[in-house]
Amino acid sequence: MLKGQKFHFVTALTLLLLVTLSSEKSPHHIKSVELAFTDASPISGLGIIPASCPSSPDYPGACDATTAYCPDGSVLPASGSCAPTLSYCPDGSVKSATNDCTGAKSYCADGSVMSASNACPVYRFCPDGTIAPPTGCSKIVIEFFCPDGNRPVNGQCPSAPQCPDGYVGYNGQCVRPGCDNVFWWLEPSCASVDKTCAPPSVLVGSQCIQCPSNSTWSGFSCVVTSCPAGFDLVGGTCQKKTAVCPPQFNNVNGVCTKICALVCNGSTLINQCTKQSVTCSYGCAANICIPPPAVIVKSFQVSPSLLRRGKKTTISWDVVHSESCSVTGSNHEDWRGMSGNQNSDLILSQTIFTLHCVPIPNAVNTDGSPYIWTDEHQTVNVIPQYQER
Amino acid sequence: MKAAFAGWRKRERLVYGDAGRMTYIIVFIIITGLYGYLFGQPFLAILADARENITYDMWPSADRAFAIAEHHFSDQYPSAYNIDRAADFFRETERRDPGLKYVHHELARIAFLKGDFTTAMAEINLQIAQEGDSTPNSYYVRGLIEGFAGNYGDAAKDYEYFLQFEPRNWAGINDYAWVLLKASRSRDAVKTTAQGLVDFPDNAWLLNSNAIALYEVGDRVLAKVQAQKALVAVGDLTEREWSLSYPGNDPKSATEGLAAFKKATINNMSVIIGTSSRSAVQ
Repeated sequence: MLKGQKFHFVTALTLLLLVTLSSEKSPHHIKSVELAFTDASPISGLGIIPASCPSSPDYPGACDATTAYCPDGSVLPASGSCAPTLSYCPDGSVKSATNDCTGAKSYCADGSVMSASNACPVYRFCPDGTIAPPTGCSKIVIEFFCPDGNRPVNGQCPSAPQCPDGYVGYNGQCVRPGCDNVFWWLEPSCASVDKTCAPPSVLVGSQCIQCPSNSTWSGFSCVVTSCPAGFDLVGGTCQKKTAVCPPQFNNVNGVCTKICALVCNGSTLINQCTKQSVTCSYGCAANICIPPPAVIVKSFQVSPSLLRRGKKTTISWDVVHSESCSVTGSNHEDWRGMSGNQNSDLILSQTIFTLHCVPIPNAVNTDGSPYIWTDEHQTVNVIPQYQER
Repeated sequence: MKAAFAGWRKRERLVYGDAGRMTYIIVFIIITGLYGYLFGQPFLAILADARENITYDMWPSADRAFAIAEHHFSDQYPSAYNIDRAADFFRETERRDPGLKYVHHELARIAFLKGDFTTAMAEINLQIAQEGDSTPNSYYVRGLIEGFAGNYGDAAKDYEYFLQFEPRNWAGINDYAWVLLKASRSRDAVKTTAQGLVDFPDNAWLLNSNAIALYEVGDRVLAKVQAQKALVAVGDLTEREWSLSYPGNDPKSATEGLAAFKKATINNMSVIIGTSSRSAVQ
């Protein structure tokens, strides 16, 4: 009997050894390039960890963020914009079938009538959709709040954080005792911060609470995923829908402001709302003032342009649609005016006269392009004199 | 006690019969064990493969070949993971139907995992030439191959193209940041990872890449905060979550891969803390 028992024992041991060896020595257990690879950044030498999540066709959309939804609950299309659904009047009511809103008062984005001083109240909303009290929303995260209710700045609180029982504050976080020093990362048990509540609850004060129905549990916090009717989910908070303004109104910083048309009446441009008017210097057309025309040089000449040394010449010019003009000679003479007819000093050598004008601001060419002035020049030459030797 | 032992002996005799039958059974077990040891596969897996071969020989088709290949190349069936057998069946799929939607994509992934970047590039280029935008993750795979081959400029372009289709894919964003960092474009990497963290604030990969990018642009205080968060996030990672992030790899590698990730984040943390402490002292 003893012999038989020993035989079974040896057999079982051999079998166990062989099964272990055969499963460990699988040639298919390859070490892929990805796993051997913690790539070093060329600048700092720190270890970057690439992933390869979307490579498998078995998991379409794996590693994508949660599907985005439009306010009406439909999935956000690939274009990134929701199809127009309900339109709202400035007072928050749904627009009628004829797409009409009555009343012309100015409204704030939350539907209230704007005050006499044109001011709107500023509202902030908590994740549960209620209007935030002046003291702020209730905290639902312990790790990243300081005792004063604010988030730590760069991981630091102005004073020690208030932590639940069994934890101590260090560097803006609640950690286990013994982990509150600069070398905490060397201690394996400090490498992760324990969650003290079981999912899907989070720690509030020293008690675990379930995430509200409109949110999902995400590690240390409840992330809002849906908002009540009339609210949009923006950056993790519920914000009241922005009013869609009726025709002839624009939403300017959350205020529906009437669009005032400008119309021409002769050469006068009139604001139909305020009845204010301006006179257009160059006429009014297509409900805008016609822009100033380009400079026109009617004439610019010297006579004679060829003369004997010591004689005089006459310079004449005539310009319209310009703010000012000047004529300067290379012999240091100059005159100013929109037009002129001037005799020069005695011409002793070749002399160049230059016409320079300043166009009216915002002047345009006939094709509507901005006008740029270019100087014009006239040259007076002296007849060469020959002397017999 | 004695009576119980005698009962056990009696039952054993009923099962095994005489000593001769017992010997045959033991010899059979030893032979199968030896076969597994010498040829590198547990005997049960050999039997399963033989059954698969017989079934395929009786009803061969491109779809069946592709299904068998996927079965051996999936993290859902760790015991069936067999990259060589998967490659054989993907090639069989290609032989029967070279136009099947993902066949070159999968051959490229296998070549990539084995470090054969030339074959991997040839296969993924063939895939993209055939399917174009209908398999957008092929651009991601090409970016991965180019990145590991050191061609960071082309890799960045392919990741950018892929992200047009899946702009909120954390791995696409993280790997894009990886090649940006490799191309010394730290500022771009800061913006990219910060964008990814809007949707995935606790993602260990993104936090780690963000910390590195911040450190390189000189924001060492914030880099330290992000590196700490990365360390916490890695501590929370499970092997299953890790495997889902590396779907082509042997699920049995999860322990080793996760440990390498933790080690890298701890090293990063020590460098960042060391520098920020020195800067604080200075």
